[in-house]
Amino acid sequence: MRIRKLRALLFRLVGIFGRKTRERDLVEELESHLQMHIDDNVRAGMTPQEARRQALIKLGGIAQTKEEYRRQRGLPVIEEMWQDLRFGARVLLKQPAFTFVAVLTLALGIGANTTIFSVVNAVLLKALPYHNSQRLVLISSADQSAGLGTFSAPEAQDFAAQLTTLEDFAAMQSQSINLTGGAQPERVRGAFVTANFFEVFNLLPTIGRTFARGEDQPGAERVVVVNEGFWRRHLNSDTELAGRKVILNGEPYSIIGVVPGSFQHPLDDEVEVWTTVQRFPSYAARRDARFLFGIGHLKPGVTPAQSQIEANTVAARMAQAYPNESAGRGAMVELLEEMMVRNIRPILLTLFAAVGCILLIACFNLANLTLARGTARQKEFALRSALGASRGRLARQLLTETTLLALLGGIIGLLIARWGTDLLLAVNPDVLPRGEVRLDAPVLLFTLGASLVTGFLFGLVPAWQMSRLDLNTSLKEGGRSVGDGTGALRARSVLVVVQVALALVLLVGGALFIKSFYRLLQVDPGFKTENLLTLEYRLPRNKYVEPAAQWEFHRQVVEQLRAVPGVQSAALVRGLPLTGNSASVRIILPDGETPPKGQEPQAQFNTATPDYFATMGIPLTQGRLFNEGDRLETPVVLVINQNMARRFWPGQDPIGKQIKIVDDETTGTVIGVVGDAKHDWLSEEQRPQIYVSYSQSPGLFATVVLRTKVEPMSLSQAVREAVWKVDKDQPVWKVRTLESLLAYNVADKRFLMLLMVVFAALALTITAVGLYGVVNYTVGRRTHEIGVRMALGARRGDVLKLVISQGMRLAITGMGVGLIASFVLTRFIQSLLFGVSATDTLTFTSVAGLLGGVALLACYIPAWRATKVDPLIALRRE
Amino acid sequence: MSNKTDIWQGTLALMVLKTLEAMGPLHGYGIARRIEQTSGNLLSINYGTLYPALLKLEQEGYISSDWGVSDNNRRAKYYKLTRAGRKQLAKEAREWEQTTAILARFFAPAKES
Repeated sequence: MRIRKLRALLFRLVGIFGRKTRERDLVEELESHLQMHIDDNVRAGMTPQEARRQALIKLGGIAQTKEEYRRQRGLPVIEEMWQDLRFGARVLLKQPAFTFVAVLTLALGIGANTTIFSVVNAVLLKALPYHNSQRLVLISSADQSAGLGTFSAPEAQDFAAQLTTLEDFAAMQSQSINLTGGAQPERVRGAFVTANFFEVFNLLPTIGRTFARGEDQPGAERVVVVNEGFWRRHLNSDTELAGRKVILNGEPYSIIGVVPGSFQHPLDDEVEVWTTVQRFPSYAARRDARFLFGIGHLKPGVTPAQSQIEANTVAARMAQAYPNESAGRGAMVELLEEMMVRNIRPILLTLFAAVGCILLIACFNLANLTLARGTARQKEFALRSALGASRGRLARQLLTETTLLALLGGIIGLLIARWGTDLLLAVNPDVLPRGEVRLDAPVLLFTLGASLVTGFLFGLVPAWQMSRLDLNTSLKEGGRSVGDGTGALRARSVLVVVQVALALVLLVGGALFIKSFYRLLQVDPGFKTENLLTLEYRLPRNKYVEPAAQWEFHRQVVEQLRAVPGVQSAALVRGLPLTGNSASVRIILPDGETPPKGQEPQAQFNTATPDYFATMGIPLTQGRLFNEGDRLETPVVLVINQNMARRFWPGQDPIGKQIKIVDDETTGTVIGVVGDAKHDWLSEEQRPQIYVSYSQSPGLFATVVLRTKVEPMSLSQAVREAVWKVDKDQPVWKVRTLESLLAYNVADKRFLMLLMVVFAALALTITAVGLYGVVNYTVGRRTHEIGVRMALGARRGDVLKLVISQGMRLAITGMGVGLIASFVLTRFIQSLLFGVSATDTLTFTSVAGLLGGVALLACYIPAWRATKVDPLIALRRE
Repeated sequence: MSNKTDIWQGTLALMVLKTLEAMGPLHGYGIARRIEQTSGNLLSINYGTLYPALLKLEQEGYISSDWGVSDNNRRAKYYKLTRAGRKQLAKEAREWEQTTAILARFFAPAKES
């Protein structure tokens, strides 16, 4: 039995092909059947005409029979799909203008979606490339100022021992390291980790070994693990490591192992060498020498929140045990995946929502166009259904056409996305924290899915309308029922209203981001960014042990740099604004009350040479700056910013006041007040700032700032050489302009703003086209009516008003809905905005004005055309 | 709707096979007339139902077809029963008898009470 079925199936499959001969065969067979019937009727005594008529009545419609027969002969599903596809393609080819607009709209919509999805996929959806990455957490210390803080080595040890919710716990920090012994001194990025670090990542070396227990203790040998990139460049890919050494920060380290180049150090993907924590340049075993982050895995089944509760307990216990060092400090446990995307997620989700809206608008637009076309095609559909096509079949035909369009749109959309992702990455590679943005399998699947859903969605309404087609009226009247009916008109009106509403939401979003970005650019950072060049260096600890030696080096560097032709002024600062290097200290004012431990007020703390302020353009408003007289052995002097002066000494003269810095127990005297300057972000609230003189607090690390008389980057080699004149083994790095830092600082806001503007413009265009289409269509339909009105004496103005008011009613309804929706939705983006409220009235009204203007234009063109109607021609048409 | 047609088609197929067994090779018109006559003109066969049924039987291999010439010299496609068709007819006839017998039992006591 089954074999019979299979056989039949095979025949039917074959039946799909060679249809012409089979069709002839059937026609012939039916014809002979009919003739025999007629013959018999004649024999029974009927006239030939009557015989034929009776036979035809008896036998039923030939067309329907053929259709039935065809269904049995082939496989109707496949065959019809193929038919629908071919027919659909023909229909689309016959209307190149419609097809072009539709495919283009869809391609833009799907392309935008694919682009953003490929980013979402790479950044938010893909797991981090680490062992059990979904349980990997970052443990950081937190004081009252919150943010990511660090642990000291003893603290890290305590947390490692006491956090029972964690499976493992390693401590780490990364920093630039001087690599010497080569042709030129170089900077490599290095990490300082506990001995169990690689075990946490379950990472096996490709050559040699990783750290052994105890190698992270003071007194152990100097050992280093390098990655494959470093091994290739500096060790000539030599597999024999025994006896190989590198000079890092001026000291020899034995290379013990090589790890795969694919391993990225968490939080710092530039790291190429790993050594142990006690090699950190400012390492001290003290409880308040903080420089380490913790990383580890939650035990299976433990939530980050549970671990956080335990961390709070451990931190509280520690604060009690060591009130001097740890009072007021907490701890934070956060999933690494979570932490890395914390800032970018709301941005990406906003963009994803925006492109989703665009695709919806495109869908509704095309549904509308298809509805309009449906009216034109209803005779065709009535005819087809008279010839035996079922209603389901007709609806399927329409859906096939729309899906075909959507797939075409999807293919072109994919090309757009390819180009779009390239563009996106070119515009802003740094905004996206991780992951390679690629058009890979998930993205392709997404595009396919989006195309199919889109095609289905925008075919649905027209197909539904079509299935309610009244055959008799359509055939009789020459086409005046579908799409003319109030139902179809209402459907089209609703589609337009929703489009306008969605477009308004996008426009409001775009406008808010523009305003926000404009506000950000208007922020006065407190310093001038043009013609500033900066670079960094760090002295090796063993070579420059004494503060005096350190200062001597720094002093000479400034001197050398000042002599470089093209340099106007040169200065040093510990943490340059916008570089991410910043420090803050807790302070006590000896003149005032002493707050409880751990609750002292905080201030940003920086070290600078006297010329720093002039070089940066930060004005001195009171008192004096540092000078040659401020030396290591003289009393500590401090320069503060205006914010600090206002906050701590309102209405008083701060000059001569004492400030005690809790962290290192030094007390200094305020000698001058300078202008406020932003430090980490342009968008930050101004904080109190304290500057101490480099000559009194030299240290190993320095950032050079140069004001140049020429294009800053043209001096990049000259300034390197100037430093090497002081010490030929001293590498320098991060040679860049302050303007590039500023651009980077606002990069994410700029990224978001640019994309939102593009998306809003896209939405506006598509919606305007949609509105135009609907009004234009109704004008076409009402030509007769308009003709009558004009014949009866209506003036052009009346006609204009008639048409425009009809279109604008839709637009205004849509705008009303859109304004309400925006009001509800924009609060979700409040955190991404700067200096503008999410419900900014001015933005809302101006956007509504813009959309209203565009809508008016979209209505005016067809309305104007309506006034050109010649009443005579219009009347004669019916 | 489609369910009803299926039942009708299944019955029609059986009638076609039986007709071909009784009459030997026959064209579509002949089959239709024969079925109508046999049914006492209670059934009326139009080609919309007949030809798809014939095609289905042919696809399943129960009948085969060939062009020939009719009694009054018209070219016509003649259908004849294959060996598989004979076997299928015997089997279906048995099943049909069984079904009607079972149904008869259901209706018989209902009449009595």
